[in-house]
Amino acid sequence: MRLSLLSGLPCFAPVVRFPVERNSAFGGKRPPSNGNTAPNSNRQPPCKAAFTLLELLLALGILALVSGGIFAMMSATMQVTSETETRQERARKTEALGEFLRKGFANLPLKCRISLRGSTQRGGNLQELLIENAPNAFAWGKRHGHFGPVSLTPVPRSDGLLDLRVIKINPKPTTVAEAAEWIRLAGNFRLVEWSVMDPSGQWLDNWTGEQLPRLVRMRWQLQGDDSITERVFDIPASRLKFVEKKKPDEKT
Amino acid sequence: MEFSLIRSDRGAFLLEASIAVAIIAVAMSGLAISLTRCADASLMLGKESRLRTALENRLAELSAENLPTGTNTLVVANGAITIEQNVQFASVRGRTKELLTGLYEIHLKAAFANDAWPPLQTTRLIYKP
Repeated sequence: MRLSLLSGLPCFAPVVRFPVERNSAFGGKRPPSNGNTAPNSNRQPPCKAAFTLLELLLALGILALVSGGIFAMMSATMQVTSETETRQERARKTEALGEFLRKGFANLPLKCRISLRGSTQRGGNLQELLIENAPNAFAWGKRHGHFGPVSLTPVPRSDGLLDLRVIKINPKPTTVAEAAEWIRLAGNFRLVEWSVMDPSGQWLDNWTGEQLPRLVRMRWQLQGDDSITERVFDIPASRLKFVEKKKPDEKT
Repeated sequence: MEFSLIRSDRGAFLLEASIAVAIIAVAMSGLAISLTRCADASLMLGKESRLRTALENRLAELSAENLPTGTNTLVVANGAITIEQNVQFASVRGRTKELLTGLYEIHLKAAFANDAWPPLQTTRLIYKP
């Protein structure tokens, strides 16, 4: 009885073979013939360089383990990369938003007026920061063309999140489209809160004073953020006093 | 079944398989290390951004209020960040007299209150005549 399944084929490495030498049932010797089998003079000698079934199973097992490990590693790598990209994108947006607002508040003119009031939109209690007498404040696009009020307002979306918009309010619109132009500063907010610091150093949620507040604070939380981010913006114009120049003949 | 450490006529065996597994293990270790560093870099970016924001906020507040000279320690961000501030007069003197008064040197150092993360610090000059 022979265990070699491919003994009749010519040997091409790495053909799977069960070499006769490894057959322990007959001590590595050719099994005894019963006399019925005719000798085949064309048969080639069995190939000695071949893999046993155990070796193949071992190799397959190792391959499966290594493949599983690599797959798990690649999966974790892709997940971490995706989270990192999302986090960095959020950080870039936060940084850009803060820088845009910082420059806007830093360049407000002396005669500017700021009011902060709550507004009810779609059932939510949101705040609107209105800036008047500040030509081209928080401008985009045409930089020399808007002299009306500008509003920094969170606007609710249909998915429950908020967009922060800069709205140019046109006091004398000729068309409906000109009544208010807006641009989305940033989106996917879960929370947007404004507050201002009055001259006595108190943070207030409402402000309608003639005087400029000393500081403006914005607190926000983006979707996916664990904590609330807070930025404080300085208004240098609040520390200056407007002195009207007298005409030369009024000096005396 | 017998294993041999030397090449025989049977094909690839234990030594070669061990080398292959070792190479793959080294490669996977390198991948794991790079993955960990990538995650650490992201974490570091977020933490540094929080500290920088806290410093900028404090600088804006100091610009708006009367500067208290001396050293103070503040806790912000719901107790998560501690800011040490040191405000000193900074004078600009000429050969005979002081050229500029009302200049303050502000040194701020922000660190997480319950974290061994390295602190972030900055020094600014503020002019408040």
